Amino acid sequence: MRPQTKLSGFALRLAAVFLALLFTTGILLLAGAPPLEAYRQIVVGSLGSIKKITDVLVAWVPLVLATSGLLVTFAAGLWNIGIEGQITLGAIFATGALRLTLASSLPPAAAIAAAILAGILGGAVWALLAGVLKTFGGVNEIFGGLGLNFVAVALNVWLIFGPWGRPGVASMSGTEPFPDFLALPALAGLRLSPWAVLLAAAGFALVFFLLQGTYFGLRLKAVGKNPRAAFLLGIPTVRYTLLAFALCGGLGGAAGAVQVTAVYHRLIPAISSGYGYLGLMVAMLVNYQPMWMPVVAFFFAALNIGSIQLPIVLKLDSSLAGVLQGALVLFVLAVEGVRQRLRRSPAKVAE
Amino acid sequence: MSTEALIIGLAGVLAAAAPIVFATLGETLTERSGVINLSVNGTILLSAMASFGVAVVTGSLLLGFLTGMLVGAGVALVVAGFSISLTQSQVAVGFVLTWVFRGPACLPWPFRSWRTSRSWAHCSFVRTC
Repeated sequence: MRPQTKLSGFALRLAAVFLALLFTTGILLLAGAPPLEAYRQIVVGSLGSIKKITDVLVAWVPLVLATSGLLVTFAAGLWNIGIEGQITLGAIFATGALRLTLASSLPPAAAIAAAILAGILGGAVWALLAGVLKTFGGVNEIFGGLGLNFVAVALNVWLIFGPWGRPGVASMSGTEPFPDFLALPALAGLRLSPWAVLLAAAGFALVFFLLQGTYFGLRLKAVGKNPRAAFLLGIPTVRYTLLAFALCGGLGGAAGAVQVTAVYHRLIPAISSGYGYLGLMVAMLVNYQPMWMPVVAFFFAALNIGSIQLPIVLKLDSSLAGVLQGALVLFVLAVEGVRQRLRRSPAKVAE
Repeated sequence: MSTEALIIGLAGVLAAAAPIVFATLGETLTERSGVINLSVNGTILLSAMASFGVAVVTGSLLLGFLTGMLVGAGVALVVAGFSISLTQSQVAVGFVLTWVFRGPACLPWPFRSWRTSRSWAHCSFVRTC
């Protein structure tokens, strides 16, 4: 029985992928663009060469870190949409730490480590703010998080144009780049830093272990499924909720710190690059289970990188990747809903 | 500041506030019924694109407005269908719709040259909203 349901589940997912491709193709045809050529550009632009593949991994690292964090909050039944702000705060804290070490005589390795730790702290603090608003203020975490996202962006832009602005003219291109020795070492000739990949792998491993192999994970899931029952069984639900927020914020903050230390080497206005929102979609697509998350995250990162050249080559907008990603999640939800309906109705008849 | 500049400034505030007022009104209505509709941003993008397209093609402002309203209602229907008939999370559906609709709103649509030869709506500025 079990293998059969697994197989039909797989077939349904495949159907969802097919429907999403169909949907996107329809939109492209309506807009008068050649769909096959667009898809070919995305594949070539993301997997066409070693350099492109490492570029995908550059995007994969923050995406995996953010999604790992989101899996924790989802397990606790929380919609941490504030992850974008948490990534931004992580980047801000990391930049602040690097600026401090510039003035001191700390060795570069220690400075970078301090920056990443500061990023984790920054993200956790911002997430705890949303958590406290929820647990003690009765503010839904979606609205609290969205509000804090706006505050984080404003804070970021203020820092870039104000106190941390470039000497002379502050500009949208960000703060003054840090010297090379304050960057996570990258592979020769590429933008990818193996240390960043290691950090993402560690973040994922931590969450995987926490959720699948510890009592902490089990209790967290209990809080997510039924907070009142969990509380009556003796789980301190408020503490667990806050911990889930802090863990998610910490991982999001690490993603922000990586953006600063390994990708941009400075603070830019769009430092979070939408990886938080993208992470929410990845988490939905893997049904909030960690197992296949890194694979799906790689696929999403590849779509993002592959669509970069669409505006240049085909005069299409690169948000096409977003359409495909969104349609994928949408149709997986639809297929799941239909399956639940079908499963329910024969049972009703039997009764 | 001269009175004229003040009036121009205030008029600008009113013009910029109008879409926010409409979005807030709609969201307040849904919130009252206990629904969280995260698709508002996607709704605005898609209906802006559709109503602008219709207004340009037909030359009628009224038809443009009507299209926008119909498209908005259609998006809400999608959210309702997913959450009520298919029992999926309304938050998830609303959130995803914003992504799905950002793309179509940003594509350079072919009907741009029906009436005038100059091209319109290149999306780089729509994206930033």
